[in-house]
Amino acid sequence: MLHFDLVNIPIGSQIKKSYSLSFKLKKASTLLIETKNLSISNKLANLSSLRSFQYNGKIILFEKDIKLLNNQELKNYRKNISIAGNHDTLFNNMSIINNIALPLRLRNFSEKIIEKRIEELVLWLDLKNIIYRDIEQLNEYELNLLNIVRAIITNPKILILINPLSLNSMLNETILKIITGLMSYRTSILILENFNYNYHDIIKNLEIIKLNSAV
Amino acid sequence: MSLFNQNNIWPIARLNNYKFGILCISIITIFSIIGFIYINGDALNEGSKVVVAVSQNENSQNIDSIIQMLEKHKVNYGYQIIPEDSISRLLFGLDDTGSRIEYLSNKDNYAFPIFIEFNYKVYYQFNIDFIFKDITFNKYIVNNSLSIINIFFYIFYIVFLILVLALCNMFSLKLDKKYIQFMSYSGANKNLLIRILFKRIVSNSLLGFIIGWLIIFIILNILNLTNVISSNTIDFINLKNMNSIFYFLILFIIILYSQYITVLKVLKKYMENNVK
Repeated sequence: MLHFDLVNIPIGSQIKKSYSLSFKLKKASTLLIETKNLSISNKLANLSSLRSFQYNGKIILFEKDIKLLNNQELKNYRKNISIAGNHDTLFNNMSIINNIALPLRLRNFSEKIIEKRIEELVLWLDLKNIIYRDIEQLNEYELNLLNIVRAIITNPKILILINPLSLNSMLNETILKIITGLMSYRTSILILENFNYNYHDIIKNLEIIKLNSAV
Repeated sequence: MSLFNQNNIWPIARLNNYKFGILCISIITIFSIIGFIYINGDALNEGSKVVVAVSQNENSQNIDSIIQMLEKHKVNYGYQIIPEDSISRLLFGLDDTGSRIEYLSNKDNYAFPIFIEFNYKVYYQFNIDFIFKDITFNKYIVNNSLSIINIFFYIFYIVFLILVLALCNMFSLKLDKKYIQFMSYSGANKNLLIRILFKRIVSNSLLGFIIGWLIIFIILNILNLTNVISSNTIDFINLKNMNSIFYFLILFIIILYSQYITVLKVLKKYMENNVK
């Protein structure tokens, strides 16, 4: 699905210092990349989701080098990748339901399908206590969960999560439920984590890459 | 289970900082109207005025008897006696030098005439020529239409305001950059984004424009209670003549179009960053 081959990611504004990274994200698998730097996580997420092209090396996505993609292919590929993290915030002038429905609306899905998908997600993840509230009433952890819910509503082939877990154990359970559930739907998940949370016990066959020192 | 409130389907059309947009348009509208009223002043009159200089000495007339004469003929509106300090300005502003020479050379029988200004229509409607036939010293038709210099000044002024508005729009969209990019990443193409943002600028412009006009409308009408404001200005802001309707229509179109151009350019820039 996604293959990083000796990709150099510069650290901050220092061009000389960079991380060199190689990994393969297979179909219906989960890969955890642990870094100590949030900006590295963001850069990795941007590269993996085709939001940025500033790198050296080779990135293969769906069997194709991403630098060789034309604009139409790029748009189509992007539709298969969802990202949830601190990149995108919810629109606070819309209700939570409309926020979650937004990616589908932007792709011209019918209201009937949108409603059906949201109903499924609400039932599966038991979100009734959250979705009818105002965005201003939600805490950071709940917003994080809703970001993930909005990211998965399009049934992406690749899901990128940045620091998905938090101190709220109840919401963590829901998020881990999403991760394990999506894997059975053949979604590949890339987790970029800056903190020490234990994923091993819940996610089977979890591959871990630790990025500790720059080259 | 009904999940959606139908009235809340596309609030995204206003994005997040729509209040800022409305505020900007209101302020720009207010300044445009104030500028227009200030620069053009009396020129808001639809047509010309007629100034009649009536002699006081020949028939021993004074202001009171002239006013009585006007009221007797039911001309109790549409005229004003020009104060003495404005008369020299009026005389030297007139093109008809012949009339001036005639007046100034008539020194032997000197008595300062009274100048009365009439609305052009009123003048002919009540046949003032006939009323003053014995005492009219001279008659001047003053053209009060917009001068080219004033129009030029106003064009520069409005261009300046439009540039300020463009800057506000750029700043506003910069705040929305994150949301625009999110929508783009989520599969929205440029046409859809432009359509969404166009909805936003139309609603912002309309609402801001109405608020701006309403503020000036209320202020001028309150001031009008104390007769500070000229009737032409009040007619202009109350949309009582076609000229003012055209003015507001053109102003609205200019504001809308300038915003559309700005939004289009900024959006293209953000979309280009988004593509290789």
